[in-house]
Amino acid sequence: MIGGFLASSINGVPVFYIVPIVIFLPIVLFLLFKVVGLGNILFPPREVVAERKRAEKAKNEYEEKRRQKGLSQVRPDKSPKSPLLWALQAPPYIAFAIVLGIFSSWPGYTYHAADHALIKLSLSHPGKRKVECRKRTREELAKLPPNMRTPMQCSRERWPVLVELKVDGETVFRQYRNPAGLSKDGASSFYEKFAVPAGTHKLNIGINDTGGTETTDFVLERSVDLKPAQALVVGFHESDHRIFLK
Amino acid sequence: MSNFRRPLQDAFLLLEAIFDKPFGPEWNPFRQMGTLAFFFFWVAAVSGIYIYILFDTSVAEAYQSIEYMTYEQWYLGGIMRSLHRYASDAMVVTAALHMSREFIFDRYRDVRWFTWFTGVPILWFLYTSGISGYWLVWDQLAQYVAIGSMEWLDWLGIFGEPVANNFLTRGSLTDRFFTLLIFMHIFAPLILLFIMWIHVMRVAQPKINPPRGLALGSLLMLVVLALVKPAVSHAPADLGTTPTDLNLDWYYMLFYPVFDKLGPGALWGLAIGISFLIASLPWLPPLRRPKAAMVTLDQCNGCTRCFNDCPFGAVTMQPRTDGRPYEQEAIVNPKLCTSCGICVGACPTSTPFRHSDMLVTGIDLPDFPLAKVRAKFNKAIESARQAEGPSILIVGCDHGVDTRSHESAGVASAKLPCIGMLPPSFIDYALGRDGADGMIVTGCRDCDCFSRLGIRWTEDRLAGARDPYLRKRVPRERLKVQWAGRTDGVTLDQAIEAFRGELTALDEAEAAAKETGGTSLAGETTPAAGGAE
Ligand code: HEM
Ligand code: SF4
Ligand code: SF4
Repeated sequence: MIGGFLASSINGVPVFYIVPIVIFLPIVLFLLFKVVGLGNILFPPREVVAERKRAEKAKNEYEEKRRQKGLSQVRPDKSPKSPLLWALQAPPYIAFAIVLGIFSSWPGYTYHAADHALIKLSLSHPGKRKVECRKRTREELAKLPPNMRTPMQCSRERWPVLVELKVDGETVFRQYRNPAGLSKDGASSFYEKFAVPAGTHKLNIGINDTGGTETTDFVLERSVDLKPAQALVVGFHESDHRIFLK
Repeated sequence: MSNFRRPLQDAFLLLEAIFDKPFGPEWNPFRQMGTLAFFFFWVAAVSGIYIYILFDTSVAEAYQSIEYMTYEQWYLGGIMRSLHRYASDAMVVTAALHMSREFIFDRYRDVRWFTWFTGVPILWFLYTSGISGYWLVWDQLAQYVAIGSMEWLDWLGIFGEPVANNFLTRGSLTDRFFTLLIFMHIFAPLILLFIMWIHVMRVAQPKINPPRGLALGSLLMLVVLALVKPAVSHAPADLGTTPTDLNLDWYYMLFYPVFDKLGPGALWGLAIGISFLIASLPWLPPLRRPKAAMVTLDQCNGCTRCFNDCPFGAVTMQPRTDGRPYEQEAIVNPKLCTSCGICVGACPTSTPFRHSDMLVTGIDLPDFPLAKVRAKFNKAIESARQAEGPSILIVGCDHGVDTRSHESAGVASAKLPCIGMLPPSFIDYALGRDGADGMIVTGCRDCDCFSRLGIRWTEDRLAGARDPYLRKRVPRERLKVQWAGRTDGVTLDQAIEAFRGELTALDEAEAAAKETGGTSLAGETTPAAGGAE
């Protein structure tokens, strides 16, 4: 019941994500306003505003009195006056400029070796349901409360998905990922990056989404010619159920 | 425990002393790091608005529009672009130095926690602003930083579809998503500004703008840097390839290589861990501070001076509660009070010329009452007068040069929590009949008052520019103001020596004048206090 509600979505935004916001945002706001004191700052209480006005008035009167007495603000001027001193300020400014200029682009950083290509495994695929959906019998339906009489009974939980990636026959990746969601009914997601030397490679990708250890549910084997710095994406088309390379 | 700060303080004090020479105390950039950060924000804001006008907000054209301003319109668009980049970088540097300095000089604990605490979201939004700016160039650096940022965010698992998928292949990045990135770069700095405003909310009379000369110099520096090393882009982004060799802006991108090494989870841990650590520093350990200032109502006439002078906004004025014929009365909020005593120095009733043994003033520090100040003065004056030659009383503060270590025959000292606690009438008292022959007022380094405004108000009071002012009858040639920080012992020693000579000459001249029946020399010597009434 609650699980169903959480899994639904409003305007495409999953309720699962909205609920914590609805619960925690007020708490955070409350803490900000009451404990950190933002409330008093943004919306000062009436007494505070009145007091500020009074204080402002008092201050102006004070300044006015001092003006009448001829006691204007004369603070000793502490700024450097001579051109020589101004010239002597140049070295510190130059030093700062150099520090700014240098570290805004140096030292260089090699994120990815230039003679390598990148294989990006970006794949999101829900595993099969642990128990297949089954039509409810008429008797079963009759026993249920009227608002829950859906004709299919489905276990929501899905199998973890296993993905294996072989490059030139060598396994570079093999991992299970659990389905997303509280009731483990979402997709399993993979986002991995592998650097490989540029050139021709035999890729072998296999997926198991039925809880087994053999990656034979979906398989793609292909020879690819990778240019230096090329980014090759390995993904899964949910609509036509196939692994693709792009 | 508190002494681990000492060597760091000494390093800063040494560096600042060098900078004091050409910049003077007021323009010294080290004391202006917060205001400089504000200034660089404005530079980035103005240059940002200009380059936004030339910027094309579509994925396909963004890069070219920035190339246009960099090369075709280098004389304005290019300079603006460079100003925008370097001012943002300068913000990171100045904010970091500002934060280190507040930490090292212990100006962040106790009632200052709020200002420190709000510095943490400033750092987050500063980084969000800078990093989101780099996305918009849509070159290979943008590609690297954008993908890294999105992968980092995706680790949280809060987005239905990984946001990094917006950058998967050629054509993945839509104009719609790019517009979202642009919005981020507009809103993050706006929120940053808002938090910067909250940051100084609790600081009374905050100094937000740097002195004009320093601002001008900094702007000039940025312009020269923009001409010498204009900001340029990497090759255009191409989602079909991966960025390889990059020139990172380390001020904003230091964490990206860390991310590449450690992965998103570790970086989240690091970012949140460091933020919590910084945010909790004011209580690690909490500062133990003397009791807050207290108002004695039957002495207070509601003159508002303490309210005007308190550097931490701890005094407010409220309608009279005791039926006496004044409009207002002062009240201290102990949660904001640092027990600096500046309000005591401001109160007209803080005068040593009282018959009663118990000296009661309108506003006083319970742990360091004015009566104790007078007793200290009396004791110091008495000991200074023991010796031959002129007697000198040095009044200093707990945060500046240690005056006690400069006591010698004829020289004694008294210390206050802040020099701003010194009511001018106490100078009158100390130099009066049975007083010392001369008095040196010191505190922290010039423009570097630990309690923010103590030095400023003291100078104004001595110059007669602020109530309560020093009376005319006080012989200015017997008063010397010599600001000196904790490491400036030599400066103070030299001042004492020179002053001793001046005082001896004065005494001799006065004695001679008395013999010949002529007038005193007073008034012909230069007043030491920086101008008289
Ligand atoms: C863009 C970044 C920042 C700007 C523009 C800024 C600006 C300022 C300004 C204008 C003041 C008032 C100075 C005065 O009049 O005495 C101030 C005070 C202060 N700032 Fe910042 N600040 C920044 C970042 C930070 C950060 C990151 C921290 C620490 C986490 C921090 C900690 C403090 C503290 C503790 C004070 C209070 C000093 C006192 O009460 O004496 N600031 N800041
Ligand atoms: S002691 Fe300092 S902080 Fe406290 S009320 Fe007086 S001036 Fe303000
Ligand atoms: S300075 Fe003294 S008399 Fe004036 S308002 Fe403050 S406590 Fe009252």
